Amino acid sequence: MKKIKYTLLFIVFTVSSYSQVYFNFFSGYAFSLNPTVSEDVFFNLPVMDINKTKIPFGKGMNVGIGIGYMLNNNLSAELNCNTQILTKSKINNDWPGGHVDNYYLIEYNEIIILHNKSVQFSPLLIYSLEANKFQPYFKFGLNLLHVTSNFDYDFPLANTTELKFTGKWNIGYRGALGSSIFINERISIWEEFTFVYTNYNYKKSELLSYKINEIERIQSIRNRTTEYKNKEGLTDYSNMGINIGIKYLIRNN
Amino acid sequence: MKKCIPIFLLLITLTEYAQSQNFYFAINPRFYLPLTYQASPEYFTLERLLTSLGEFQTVYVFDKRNKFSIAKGASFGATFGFCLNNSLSSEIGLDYFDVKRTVESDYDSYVSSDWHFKTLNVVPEFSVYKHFDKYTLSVKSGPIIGLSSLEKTIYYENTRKTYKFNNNLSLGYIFGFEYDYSLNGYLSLIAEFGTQILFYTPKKAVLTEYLLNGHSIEEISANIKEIEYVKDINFQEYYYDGMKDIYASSWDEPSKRFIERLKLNSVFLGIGVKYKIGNNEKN
Repeated sequence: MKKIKYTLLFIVFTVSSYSQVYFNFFSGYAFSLNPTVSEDVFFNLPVMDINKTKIPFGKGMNVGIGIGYMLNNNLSAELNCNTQILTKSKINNDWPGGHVDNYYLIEYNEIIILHNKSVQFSPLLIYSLEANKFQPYFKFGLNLLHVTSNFDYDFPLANTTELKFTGKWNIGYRGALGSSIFINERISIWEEFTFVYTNYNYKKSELLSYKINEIERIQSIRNRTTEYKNKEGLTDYSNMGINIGIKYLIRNN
Repeated sequence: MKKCIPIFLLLITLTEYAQSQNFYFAINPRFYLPLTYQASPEYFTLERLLTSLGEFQTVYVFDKRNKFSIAKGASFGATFGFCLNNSLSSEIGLDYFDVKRTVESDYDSYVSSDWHFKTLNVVPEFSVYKHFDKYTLSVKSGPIIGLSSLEKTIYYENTRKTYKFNNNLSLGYIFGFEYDYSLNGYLSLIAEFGTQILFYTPKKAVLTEYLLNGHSIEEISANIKEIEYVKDINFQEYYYDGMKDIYASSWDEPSKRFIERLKLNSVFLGIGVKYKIGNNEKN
């Protein structure tokens, strides 16, 4: 912990000694560009139905910080780090009831709750058009993503399952179109339309909880982890959204 | 000869108009690389016969590839543009992309599939640009409307099945940067870089070839010959035919399956030549 503090202090001190270095603080909201769609066909003839489940990976509120260096009046390089909060998605699947042979199948509602925890690093190049106070710009670069996802499957009158999916760092692309307005010579406010194109490949899932009639039964399950091979855990984590931020420029007068 | 005169006059008028304005024309081939991947869409299944203790049994071959994209290859395109003012222009681009790929299944090394996708994209876009001494930098973006078609074949040894999917629109959008290096007032070299997002969702497929254990199948029912892809299936009317993996209502009507989307998300790099017609003293 001390090491991190000293490293951060060293970075702040070092960059403060150079002009044209700036810090960014930003927040915004992103929507999933390509939600994963799974179709589950209910097959207990003559009862037959289909449920389409849309899982919106990449959705959530962005919160982040960044550090940048202005190479000249038009070109800058930036490293941003952000996470997403409020990523919870609730998916409802209504399964039909009906007679199957001599039995009656009770209709029920399956609830899936998805919660993602992610960290993203994005080294970017920024090109700004020169303007007096108002400065349009565009950004393009890479996006390094690490995600942990929790899925809670809740079948009322039956069981509840909680699974955690994890993977390694995945690389994608990030771009943005935006504009900034200088409030004074050091501080500017910016807003941008951001898009992230990336896949995320989950490598492993782990069973965290398995309840039947609200009684924990996980002890009865021996193999609680599943490893995914051949990119079986590949999902589309692409998203687009709007971020607003504040930029503090360190100038040596 | 009389018919040629109005066309000739129209051409002269258009050329004169173009010269009095700031029009430009560019030839810009591109090379595309996948941006994101998806699991390969199934669209149909190939069945094969197994013999077990003298009894025949039908099983499906599984051609799925978990990391799949066919958005890789070269395209040929041209753009016609008009400068609206000193920093904004309006363009219309045409881009022809034709790609063939063979994909091996992740689950069975004997199974592979051939994909042949063609699209002619029309791209109306806006370009925001800034002039420098010898070069111009621009950002461009716009929707894509493509006329696309697809052919897919699934192979297993000497058994194979090919469906041709109908021509229908693929939709998407483009976002890119352009570097324009001026050779003289009229001619410049351009380099492009950007992303293209394109979705193709076929509505109908027609069987074009069916070979089972090396023998061509001639008598094929209509529900195998044609598949319609729909969002919802009325299960009161259509039943699931497990032997063919389709939803059918009768032998002589097209069968149904659920729609599947082919995603062609890509990054592109392009080089080209731009010819400027009109007042280009600044360039």
